[in-house]
Amino acid sequence: MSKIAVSTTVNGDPAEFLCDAGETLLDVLRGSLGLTGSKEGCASGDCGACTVMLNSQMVCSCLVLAVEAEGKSIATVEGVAEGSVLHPVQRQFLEHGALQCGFCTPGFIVAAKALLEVNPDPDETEIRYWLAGNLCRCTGYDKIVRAVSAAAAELRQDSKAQRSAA
Amino acid sequence: MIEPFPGRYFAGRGEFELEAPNLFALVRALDAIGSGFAEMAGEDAAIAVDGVMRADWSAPLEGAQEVLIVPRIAGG
Amino acid sequence: MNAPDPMSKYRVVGTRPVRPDGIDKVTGKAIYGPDFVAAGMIHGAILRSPHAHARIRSIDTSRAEALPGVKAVVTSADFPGQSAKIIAAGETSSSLRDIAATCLAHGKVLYVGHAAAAVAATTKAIAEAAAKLIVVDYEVLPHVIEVEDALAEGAPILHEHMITKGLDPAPDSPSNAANCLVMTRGDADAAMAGAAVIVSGHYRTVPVHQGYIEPHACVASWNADGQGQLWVSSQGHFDIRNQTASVLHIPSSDLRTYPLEIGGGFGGKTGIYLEPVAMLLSKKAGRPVRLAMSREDVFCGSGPAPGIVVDLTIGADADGTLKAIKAEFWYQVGAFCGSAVNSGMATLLGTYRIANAHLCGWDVVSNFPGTKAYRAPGAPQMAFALESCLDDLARKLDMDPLDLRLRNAVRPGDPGPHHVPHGAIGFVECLEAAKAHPHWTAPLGANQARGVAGAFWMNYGGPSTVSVALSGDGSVQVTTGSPDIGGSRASMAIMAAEVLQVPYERVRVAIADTASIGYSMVTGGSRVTFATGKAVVEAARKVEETLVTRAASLFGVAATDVEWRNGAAHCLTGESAGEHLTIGAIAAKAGQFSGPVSAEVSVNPLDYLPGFAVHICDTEVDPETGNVSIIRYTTVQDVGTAIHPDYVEGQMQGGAVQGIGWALNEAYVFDGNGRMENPGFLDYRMPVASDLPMIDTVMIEVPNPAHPYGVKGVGEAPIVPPLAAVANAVSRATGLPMRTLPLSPDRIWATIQAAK
Repeated sequence: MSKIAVSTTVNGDPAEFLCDAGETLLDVLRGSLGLTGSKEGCASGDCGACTVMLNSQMVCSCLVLAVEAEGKSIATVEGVAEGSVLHPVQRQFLEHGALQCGFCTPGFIVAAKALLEVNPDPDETEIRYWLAGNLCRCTGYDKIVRAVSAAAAELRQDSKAQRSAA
Repeated sequence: MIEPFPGRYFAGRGEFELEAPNLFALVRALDAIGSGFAEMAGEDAAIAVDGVMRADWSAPLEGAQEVLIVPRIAGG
Repeated sequence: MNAPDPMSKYRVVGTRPVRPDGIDKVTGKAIYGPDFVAAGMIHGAILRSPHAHARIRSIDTSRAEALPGVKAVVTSADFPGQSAKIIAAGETSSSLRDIAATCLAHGKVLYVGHAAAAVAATTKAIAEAAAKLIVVDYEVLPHVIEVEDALAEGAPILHEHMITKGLDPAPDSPSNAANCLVMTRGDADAAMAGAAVIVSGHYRTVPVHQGYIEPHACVASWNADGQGQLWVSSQGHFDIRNQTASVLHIPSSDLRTYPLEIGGGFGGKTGIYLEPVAMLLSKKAGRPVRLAMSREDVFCGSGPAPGIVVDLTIGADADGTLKAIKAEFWYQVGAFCGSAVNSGMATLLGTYRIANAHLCGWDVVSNFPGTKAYRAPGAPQMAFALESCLDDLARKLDMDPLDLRLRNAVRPGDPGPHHVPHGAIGFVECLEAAKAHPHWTAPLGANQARGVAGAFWMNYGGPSTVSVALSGDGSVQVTTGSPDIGGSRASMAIMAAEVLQVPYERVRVAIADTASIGYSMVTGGSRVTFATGKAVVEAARKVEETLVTRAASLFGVAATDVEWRNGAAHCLTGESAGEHLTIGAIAAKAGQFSGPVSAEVSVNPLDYLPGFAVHICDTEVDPETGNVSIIRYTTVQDVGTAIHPDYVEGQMQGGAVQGIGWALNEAYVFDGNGRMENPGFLDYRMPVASDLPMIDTVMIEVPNPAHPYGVKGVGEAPIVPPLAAVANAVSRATGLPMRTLPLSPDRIWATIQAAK
């Protein structure tokens, strides 16, 4: 079977790959692109460990065919930090001990960042419903909710500081 | 000792008066009564000496009054 | 709270620094089981049984072998012959024959999903296609799932050699009852006859899965000279190595095993499934081979926790003092004999003062995957029965359920479940803290009710090896063999920093492969912070001793005239009095002493103490749909000393939520052919964030005197109470007994309708 060539942008950089028609975006990210930060917990869109942004839409990359990424921009957990500077969501996950085994964490980080981009001041219920597509078996979600809430507060503080500086 | 050991190795008897310098000797003495006990005990038994779990079977038993042999249980 | 405040006692213990492996885990850099790639690696696939019980007449692999790209095919015929020898497997022991048959079926398949054959090929797609070309000729046999069916006259027998252990006289024919254990205390019949109140119930839970998000995966490489390498995510790579080497009949030291990051285990990653198969594939192919499970493989091919059926009767005085307990119970342990009966006994005898007991427990095999440990294995199911029955007693006596538990709670010095007296335990402190918590007296709304349950779990200690080594600059390397599942690198670094009185960041912790440090038992049994922690403290103290001795030489005084303080040796007398040498200054002079500063320590501590917990749960039941919402949840636990409180709280919260899932939603659902109908996260419904409230934690610190910082295991006790705490709340909300789990909406609705 001949492979299909796909051109995309991954975390801001151009990326091209060859894939089979049946391969998922997750397969390609973890395989030929070597980005194993996105995890496969179920391959059925139920656990959210493979969450990435596709043209700024939050998706389970296990439910997206790799060929669908043609011409689109993909953002994965590997692109959340700016160089060596952690995103507030990442930093607050660490500060709050919001991970134990850490396997679900990349999906939560991507999803939580996406939440705060559309809702800078979510309440507990909004955080819980936004993250309901991400399974965590270790933490019981309590510290995750606190971490996201703290990251939201930090981001609001940052943007306030930027506004007053401007 | 407590079940399942008395039933499985000692025809239901669970109490013994034995003299032994250490737990290895004690388990050997018990094995002479209930054959196969020693091999099993190495994997599946935990032993308390005067109410304290004892990991080192070579430590002297001098002065000890009661040795309790119980199933070893650990978690997940 | 009568516990000392660790903040005043310690410098680092009790603080909440960021874990050393944190950045790797929030940026996607950490390498877990399915992430590892070896040079030249190819991919394996496993063919699994479509039948719940069948004899394998023959396996034809010829078409698979002929497929281009296929490099190896193996069946159980490639395994060396196995004896029934018992070997240590994780924290319990299993027969080598059962361990091997779990990896590849031998003669018979015992459940849908049982591995029957395996193939390795240049791509995963080719391997999966090739697996489908393997033809297994099955003689399908009748199967059993439920305990009652498995024990019925004429039931299909899983293991032709299985004679029930523990019966006198021994039965002369095989059955599905692997084991029967009877335990008695005092005279239960007489005490029951004299009891003022008697309550009893018939309780049932079904198998549930540990539900770790990372499926099992490994990479194996086995060279022609017999030496192999294994990269695996597990709860204990030493035990994975030992089991794999035993099954393959090779020396353990020929199998160097590297720990990868582990994405959750909860007891389910203490045994082997893929590893020897990957090794055999690698040997045949001459290439490293990755074997990885899908989610469906995890549900259908790896160990869930057993179900249980319990008949329980409790007798008490009119003032609530427990007089006697009688129970017969059956653990539904799956295809291979389990070991939960003892911990079921311990749950019934370890939590409350009960002088008279007659308990009879059975391990019953049936046609679903052999069960594995799941966080306090065997205890949550039994605590569901015990704590539900106690709640019935409290209602019958019109007594506050916490007061009933306080009246009967075990105290230090009381006999433990196996007669060994309880040490410095804090169950009473937990119950009192629960009673004093605002949650206990908060008002409730319509259709809401509050449930409570207590818990006991034994915990464990056991063998660990640790080295502490100083670099020439005085920075500290701690090396252990205990996989870090929930932040234990941080707690090890905290303990070493506490001893050496250096900043937390000066200590780095590595988890070494099996060739780089001595044996450590699995990360399980709530043992690592206790046992491996003890080894860390002991090794760090040896290092400190060396530093003091060397500093004394440099000062020209006796070691007793040197004090170790703030990470430096301070001279107390002589010409150098008042001077100090930092850890780095002393370490830098290793060339003028007998060698670098390091210490390796092996321990096997059994002076662990059990964990006790009390959970309070508020539920709201929708009478129209039977749906249960968890409105508020509080966990109280005796944690000994919290080394890193965030990760202690995390254990309490995570265990509570797993227990909530067990109570409300989670279940293996089998169709009439013994096939699991819900082998995915959509239909096997684990709690998600929107199902839950915040989980409040109250850490009670009653230190363990046998640990230098008072550590008790904390990981398992929190999954013991939630099943009953939730069920008791639902019972009180509906006024109806809830004795079968899960409390899914359909079951609750049907119970409500039936009572109308």
